[in-house]
Amino acid sequence: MPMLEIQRLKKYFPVHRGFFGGKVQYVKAVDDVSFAVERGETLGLVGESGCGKTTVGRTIVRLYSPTEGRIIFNGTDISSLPGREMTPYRKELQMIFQDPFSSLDSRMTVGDIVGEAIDIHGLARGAERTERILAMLNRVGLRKWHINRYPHEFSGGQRQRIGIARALVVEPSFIVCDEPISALDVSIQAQVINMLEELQEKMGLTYLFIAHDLSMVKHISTRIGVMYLGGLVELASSGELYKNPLHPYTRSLLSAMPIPDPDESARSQRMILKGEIPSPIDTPPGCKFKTRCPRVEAGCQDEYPEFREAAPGHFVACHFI
Amino acid sequence: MAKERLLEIRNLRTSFFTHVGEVKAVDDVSIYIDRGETLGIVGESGSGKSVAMLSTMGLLSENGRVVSGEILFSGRNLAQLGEREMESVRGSEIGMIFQDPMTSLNPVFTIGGQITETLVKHRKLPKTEAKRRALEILASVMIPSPDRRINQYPHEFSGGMRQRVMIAIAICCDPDLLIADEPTTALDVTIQAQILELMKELKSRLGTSIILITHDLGVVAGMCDRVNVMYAGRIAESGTVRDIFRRPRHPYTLGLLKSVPNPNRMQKERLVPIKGHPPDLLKPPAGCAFAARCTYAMKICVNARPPVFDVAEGHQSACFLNHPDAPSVSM
Repeated sequence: MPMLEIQRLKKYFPVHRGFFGGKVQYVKAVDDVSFAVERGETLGLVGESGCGKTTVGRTIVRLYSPTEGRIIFNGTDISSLPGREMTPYRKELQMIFQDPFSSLDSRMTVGDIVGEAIDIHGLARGAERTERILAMLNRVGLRKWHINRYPHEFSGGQRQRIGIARALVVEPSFIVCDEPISALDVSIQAQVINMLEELQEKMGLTYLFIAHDLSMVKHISTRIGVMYLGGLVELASSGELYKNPLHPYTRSLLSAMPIPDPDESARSQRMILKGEIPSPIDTPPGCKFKTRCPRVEAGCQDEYPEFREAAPGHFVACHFI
Repeated sequence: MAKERLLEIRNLRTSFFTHVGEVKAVDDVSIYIDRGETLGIVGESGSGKSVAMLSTMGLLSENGRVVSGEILFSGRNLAQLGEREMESVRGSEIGMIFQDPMTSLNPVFTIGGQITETLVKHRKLPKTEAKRRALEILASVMIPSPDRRINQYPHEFSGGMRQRVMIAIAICCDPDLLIADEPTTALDVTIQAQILELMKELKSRLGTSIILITHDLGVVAGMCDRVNVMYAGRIAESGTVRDIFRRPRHPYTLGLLKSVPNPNRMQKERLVPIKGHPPDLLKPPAGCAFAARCTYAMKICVNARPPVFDVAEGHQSACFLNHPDAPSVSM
């Protein structure tokens, strides 16, 4: 049994248009997405801004309630659990945010930020609570005296460590990492990535790793899902996806990826997509990628391609495969 | 073909004077670019790469000042020009593209208005002629249906399209030099590829030289002829793109290369991060700014500033390991 499974997940956001806001349309941020995450693996989720990858992550930890579909965690459907019944699952499902500046309360000390989660779940009190916070700070490479400091006294990389400590202190089993390194400098990114890998090994964590930086995603992930305009277009093991991408969008995404080597970069064949991502408001029927696809044909116009297994463990949504 | 020097920055020092003291953002930096070249300036936030270029353009904020040094561009020292003269250089002889295309465009004027303004000011074109030229330029940066787009406002454009408009404004007066400060950092991967392709195409068509400021080693590898690596306000290493990627001679450059994964490698390599974080420029260390994070640091590195060593033709490194008496280490 997979640790987490999402089935036909949909999340629509209403937008009010027209002069009096009477006309309601929907942003289909996540539109019929299904996948499973196995215990101990890292599932990477990539795509460009607006593709819905963050919404998937936030819906899984129930920061949003899904419009439709099921979220099954360790065999229990948590997609519509009310607040109190959700609490034990919130301890298991934690999130690390992209922006280490706005995701920490500037008026709380590091000790308060990390300790708050312990209090909410009633895990420890008094000396034991402090002990637990200090042990966690030590694990993420922060010092004892940092416990009384405020977020503004730290650099971006250190703040991200605070965010990680906050997520891990309640000993969760599943972490949604939402672009945890995109706001950091190159030399600091590798520090955080290595730390996440180490913590995963030691604490037996399972990650959903959301990012737009394909090279880092490939580095950290066991399997990778590619999203476009609210839908999952391809899912395969990390090596398979890079060696044998099937969906035209995945192919162009991979070929657009800058390679940090002058000779390999010169040799690589670029497949540059025309145009941009269309608006996610009331998307027309048919394949979501049809407006930019180099292979588009008549069949792509009306029918949404089914997300199916093209090779063992390799799923794709394209009429041509 | 003999190389012609287009811009030469010599021993530039730029400081910001804040209420807590002087921040030496750029500390004795020399950079040059030849005509027809693409030069990359790589560094992390706070390394001084943007400040060096803002100094060149005379666009420093109120509390920033060029303390010393020369900025030689077509026979003039830009560091000594007055504001009026700088205005005629900017936009006309040197074009600039910034990271965030939303804040660099004026939201209350149409795209067409902002391009024609530049043409009327610098090229003294009559309005109708300027508009005709603006349409041409919009088409050349591949904005679809320019005759409709020209009358629209920046908010009606997507991020990638705005960056195309920025490029259109930057190149409308055929500048000799284009300075692009993180032009694709705010953009998605497929849009980044479009913009980089466009810059390459414009360069080969118009012969513009480009200074590309970035933190992305992948972008550097694909775009640049030569590279300067900056760290804590100084140049750590400079050389051809191949020197920097194949034969790095500064531990910081090496550290950067080891901390990014190459997606073409099939088996997984462990990343080697650079430990610690950059120094506080309010209290810069006495010796090498990188010494505290350097695996190879020696006693001298803590006490003395490394001079610039010539390690090969056109390849310099500011690291004591290149001193003839230094122990040889394999990097």
